[in-house]
Amino acid sequence: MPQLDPSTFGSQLFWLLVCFGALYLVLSFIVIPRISRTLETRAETMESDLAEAEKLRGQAEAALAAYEEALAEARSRALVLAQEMRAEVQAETDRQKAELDAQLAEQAAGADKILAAARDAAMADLKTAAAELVGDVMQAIGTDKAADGDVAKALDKVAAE
Amino acid sequence: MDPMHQFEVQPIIELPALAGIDTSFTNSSLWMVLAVGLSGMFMLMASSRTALVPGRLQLMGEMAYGFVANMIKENVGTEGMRFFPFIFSLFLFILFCNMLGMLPYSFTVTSHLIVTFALAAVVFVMVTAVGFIRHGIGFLKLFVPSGIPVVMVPLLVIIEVISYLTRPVSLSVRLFGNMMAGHTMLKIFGGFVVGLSSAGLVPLAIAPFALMVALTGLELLIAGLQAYVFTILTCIYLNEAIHMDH
Repeated sequence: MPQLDPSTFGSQLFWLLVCFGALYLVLSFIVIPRISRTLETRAETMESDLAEAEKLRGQAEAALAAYEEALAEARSRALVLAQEMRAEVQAETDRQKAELDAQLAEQAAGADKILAAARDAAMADLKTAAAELVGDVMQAIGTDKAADGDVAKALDKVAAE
Repeated sequence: MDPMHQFEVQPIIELPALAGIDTSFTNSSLWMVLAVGLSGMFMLMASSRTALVPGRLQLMGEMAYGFVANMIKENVGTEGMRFFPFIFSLFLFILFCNMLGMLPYSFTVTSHLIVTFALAAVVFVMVTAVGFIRHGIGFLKLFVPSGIPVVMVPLLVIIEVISYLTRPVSLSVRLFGNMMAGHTMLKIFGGFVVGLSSAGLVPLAIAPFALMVALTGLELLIAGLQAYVFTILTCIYLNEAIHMDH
């Protein structure tokens, strides 16, 4: 069994030391620092990218909230404006209606007065006509001409009945 | 057709002894240099690009890194990361030696007990040193199992000490044995195929040939698995030395 030949041990151990030592040095001083730095950089980049994304999301959410707030404010302002407008229009309408009512009442009062005057005039005319008619009738039947005052008094009496 | 011939260490360049140690460049040295060169080149090239989104080679390097780093984190914890360069080198060295050994006409460095034993001895010395540095003389409590009758203590301490001291042996023999047995078996079946075919019995050679193909697949699996087993056992020993709980 060649494995048990001690004459080869020296050379094998010497070269093992050289080769393994070289591999150890290359790995520990060049390869491992490089790879660990790469992995670290990658982890850091991912972390910072995620943080950046989180920040941007927060900004977007804040913008959305601000927009919704502005919208709600605008809506309530619009409501207030509409109410004010409605009240103004109502007041204007009321005012104009009152004015119109007053005007109409005035006109109605004027018309009543004219009507009353016309009726009084008509009544007076009627009295005069009735007195004339009574005078004519009395003349025709040949009675003495009654005094104007008496006729008028009698007519008033009739009219009162 | 000696199945053990493949394990012979033959000098390629004779070099003068250094402080009484033969430093000749042998076929074993050649394949060690190749394993280290290939694994080192692979990791250097894989780590030369530091792109945020890795390419294929970079990803392979990072996966190898992550595989061993996770193994240490899971078995030892973050304190174990101080030993990451050593454990990563161990894993890559054994993996590449095992895998290169699967090439025809190659030499399997890890099929020699002296190599695997040297690696296991380094692990053993390191683990023991870590245990004593971290816990001082209290590290010896590792050999006294808790919750047993006092009468049993001396016997169990002896058993624990023996099991601790045989760790480098079991660790090295496991890797060496797997490699040597697998390659010997492949050689024997290869010998059958060649022998039967040259004797004109080609149909009879089909069965050992098929078996050889299957065994080659199995050996590839074992080559990876044994590198993993060696590394994870190192992690487990290290964990015991650091945390002293078992």
